[in-house]
Amino acid sequence: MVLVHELEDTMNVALFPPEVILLIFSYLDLPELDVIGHVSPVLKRLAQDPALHRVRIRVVAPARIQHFLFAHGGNLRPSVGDLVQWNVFRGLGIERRWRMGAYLYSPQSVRQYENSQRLEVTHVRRVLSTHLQRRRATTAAAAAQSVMPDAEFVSSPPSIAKSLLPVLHKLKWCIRRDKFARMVRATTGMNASVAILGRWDENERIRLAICPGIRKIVKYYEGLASQ
Amino acid sequence: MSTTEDKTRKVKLVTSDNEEFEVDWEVATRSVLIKHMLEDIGESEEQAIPLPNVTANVLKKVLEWCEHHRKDPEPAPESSDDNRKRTLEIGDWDAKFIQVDQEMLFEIILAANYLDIKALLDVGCKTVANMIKGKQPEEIRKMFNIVNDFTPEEEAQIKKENEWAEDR
Repeated sequence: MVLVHELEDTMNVALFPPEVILLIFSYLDLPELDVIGHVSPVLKRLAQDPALHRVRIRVVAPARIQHFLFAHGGNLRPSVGDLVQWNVFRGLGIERRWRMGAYLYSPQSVRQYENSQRLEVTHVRRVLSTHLQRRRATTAAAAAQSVMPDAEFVSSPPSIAKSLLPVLHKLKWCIRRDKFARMVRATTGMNASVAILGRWDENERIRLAICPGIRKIVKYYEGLASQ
Repeated sequence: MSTTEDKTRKVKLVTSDNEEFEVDWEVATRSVLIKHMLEDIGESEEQAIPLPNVTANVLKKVLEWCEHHRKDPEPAPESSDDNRKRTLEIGDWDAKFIQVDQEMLFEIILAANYLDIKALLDVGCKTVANMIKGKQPEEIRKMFNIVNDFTPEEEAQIKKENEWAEDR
């Protein structure tokens, strides 16, 4: 039992000669080598060995490209359309221009393409934000009506339709105004208007600042007083 | 070294646990190490070749492979490496041959490395590479009995290095 256990302990890939481990790694691709880098420090160092990357550059990459371009009589070779779709080729109207024989892949054209993309993004952003704002305004109004029920609606008899509420408000306000006017007329008559006028002379400016519509109201009460 | 003599000539191999194997010259010389040793010793001697790094059960397996591949053409010395296809495909017979437990697989790889049998080493390494493919680090550690001896600092460093990759 002990012997078996010891054997298991020693049979460990990390104890292989480094050249054998490198040979194993040479069959692995970059993602797997990345995973290996997480296994142990020794293997991490080996997975980053320059020899592996030399093989990758000198053997694997050319073989892949060879396969891609020339295998199956060149049928695997991507067309310009494919390259545009895979976002390898970037530019404005590449396919059309390419068919016309007028497309030149230059840094200039790539920059042009990137600018157009940026413009598109800003445009979309603007359209979206205006739409969202509009929506927010309308929904806010709707929400306010449904969340905070009108005091009049609550107190008034349920026979009144919701659409008539503004009219009801106006009527009630008129009643209240008339009541107040009657009260002022009945109690003080001239005295009240004199008191108001006296104060008016003192600090007209302050009153105007606080209540811009004061002139109209004063005139109204003056009219009432003279009647 | 005439070829007629080579066909009939036998080679004696002695393993680390003192077991003797007598094999055809053609089979034994699949191993570059044995071939060079035989050249050094000279033809006349009937001396047994000691293989102190290989046990009997592993050598038996290795010789089984050599026996099957005795007619294989010699690989070209250096160009073979560049032309070597980096595919993980293994021949049918080899695939069946290499279906052994992991311990034996590692022993065969070590023996092939020691005996310098390139084709067999390739088969073994491809098999191990296939085992590694698509596994998580923890699974690989468990499979190969590797202790995670990263220090916490190193772990953090690795995590940092790989942050960009995990976003995908």
